[in-house]
Amino acid sequence: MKELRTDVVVIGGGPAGLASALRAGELGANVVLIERDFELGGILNQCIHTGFGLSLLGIEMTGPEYAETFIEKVMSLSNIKVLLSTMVLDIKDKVVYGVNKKDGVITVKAEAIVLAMGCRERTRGALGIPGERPAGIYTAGSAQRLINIEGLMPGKRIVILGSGDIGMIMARRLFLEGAEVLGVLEKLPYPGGLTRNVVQCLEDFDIPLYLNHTISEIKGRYRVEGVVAENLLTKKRFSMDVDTILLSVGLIPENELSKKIGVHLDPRTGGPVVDQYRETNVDGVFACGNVLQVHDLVDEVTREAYIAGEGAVNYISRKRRIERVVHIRAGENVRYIVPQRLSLPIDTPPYIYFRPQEPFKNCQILGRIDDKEFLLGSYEYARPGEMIKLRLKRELLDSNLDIEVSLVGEKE
Amino acid sequence: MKILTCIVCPAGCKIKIDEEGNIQGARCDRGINFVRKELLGSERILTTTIRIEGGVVKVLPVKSKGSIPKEKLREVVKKISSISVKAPVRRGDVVYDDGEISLIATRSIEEVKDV
Repeated sequence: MKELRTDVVVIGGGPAGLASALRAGELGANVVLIERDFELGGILNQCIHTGFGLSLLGIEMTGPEYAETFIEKVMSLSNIKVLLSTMVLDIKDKVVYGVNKKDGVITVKAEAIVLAMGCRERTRGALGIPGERPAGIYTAGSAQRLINIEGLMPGKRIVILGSGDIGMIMARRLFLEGAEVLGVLEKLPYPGGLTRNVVQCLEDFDIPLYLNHTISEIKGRYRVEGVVAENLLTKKRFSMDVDTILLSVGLIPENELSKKIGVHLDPRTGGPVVDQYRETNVDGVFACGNVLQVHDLVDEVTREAYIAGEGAVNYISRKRRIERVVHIRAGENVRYIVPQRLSLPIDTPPYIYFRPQEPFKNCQILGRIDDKEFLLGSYEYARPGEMIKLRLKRELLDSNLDIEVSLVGEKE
Repeated sequence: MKILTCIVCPAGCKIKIDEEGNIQGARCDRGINFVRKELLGSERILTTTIRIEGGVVKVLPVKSKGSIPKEKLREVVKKISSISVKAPVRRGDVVYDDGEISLIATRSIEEVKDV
């Protein structure tokens, strides 16, 4: 059995794993980065569209370009060791157990662990759509993998259920590859993904977006032969002649390993409860990227992973000073907040990340402590599909009381 | 008055253009440039894949060197569906150029080594 020792072990070689390993490596720590695929980059390798890197690097890149930029940086540091095609099976007392074809079982004993396993897609099972179980039902991400990595078309006449970003991006991709995309159905009265994707993926190509709609029946015994779409407000139904259904109905952080080591999860994010260093409740175990909260933009994943990588190194060197802990609660109209906990004292107020419960306009974000209220920010629009990031105020960090963040505004 | 949603970055600014051509609501200059171009005709960078032989994966992601009118995108994808390149490829390589369309590799793909 191969046994390794290191300062920081990072689980997952996607954008979060790459950036946290890079930051920890740049700060001088020895790092082992473990990836289950045969190459680094994670989901970015199949996200061939543009839109990556603008906010962090100032240039617009495709997913593979963004990934390769970070892979090159990671590979240039001799204190980062990368284990590919290696599946992590278990973690016990800061020892990570993995397995790969070459070494068999491998153990990595580390001072700190960074969880960066990403997320997976919600499948048909989670929706409970009645009907047969024919071939031709894919999650949007698996269809994306088929086309962009394997070079295979999943179908010819497509309907997409759910208006998440990947679903809309796949609508455009399939249309350009010659498929007929009959429409995107969204059960809510507003789209799930970014507004720019509604414009550049659907409106650009006259692909209809049916809001307040869902699939009420799937037809076909062996292969999808059609669906019945239903307007949830009028209950009116109509048939769509399709051979393929893509599901873009949400992402779930992949926290099986986290649960095994006793990491507490936030039921609202599906990811670990963390402080501003991205440390979980388990001493020396950090989390970042989509395993922590499902992000819209990779740039923010990278920023979060830098925080976790740095947090892990500061944990090892005992640079942190934690005297008291306060909690940040999601108040009125706020779906969730990350981080959920603050370790104080702290020099600069940290950023918080959150989403509104539903779309609002002309709204204000308020931070409340005891009976004092502070304005944290104002927004013309706030939508669940677009994560909001803003800095907490100094005044909120002076006491031992919990902080509540809420949103007031007009419903859109 | 016309309202366009800027697609340059994920902020998705809603930009208003009034009858006199005044542009309002863009958070940066890129948004103003986007609206000016968009009013003249929509052009997009194309990202797609082409086949690659002898590589560790079967298709190579590429992007067009310049923007392409959006009505033509589907036609271009069809046209390049027959082309194939050979591994290895480096990110940034121009892998196809027919004088009209130029495609740049957006990732590196190593050659499969004989086992």
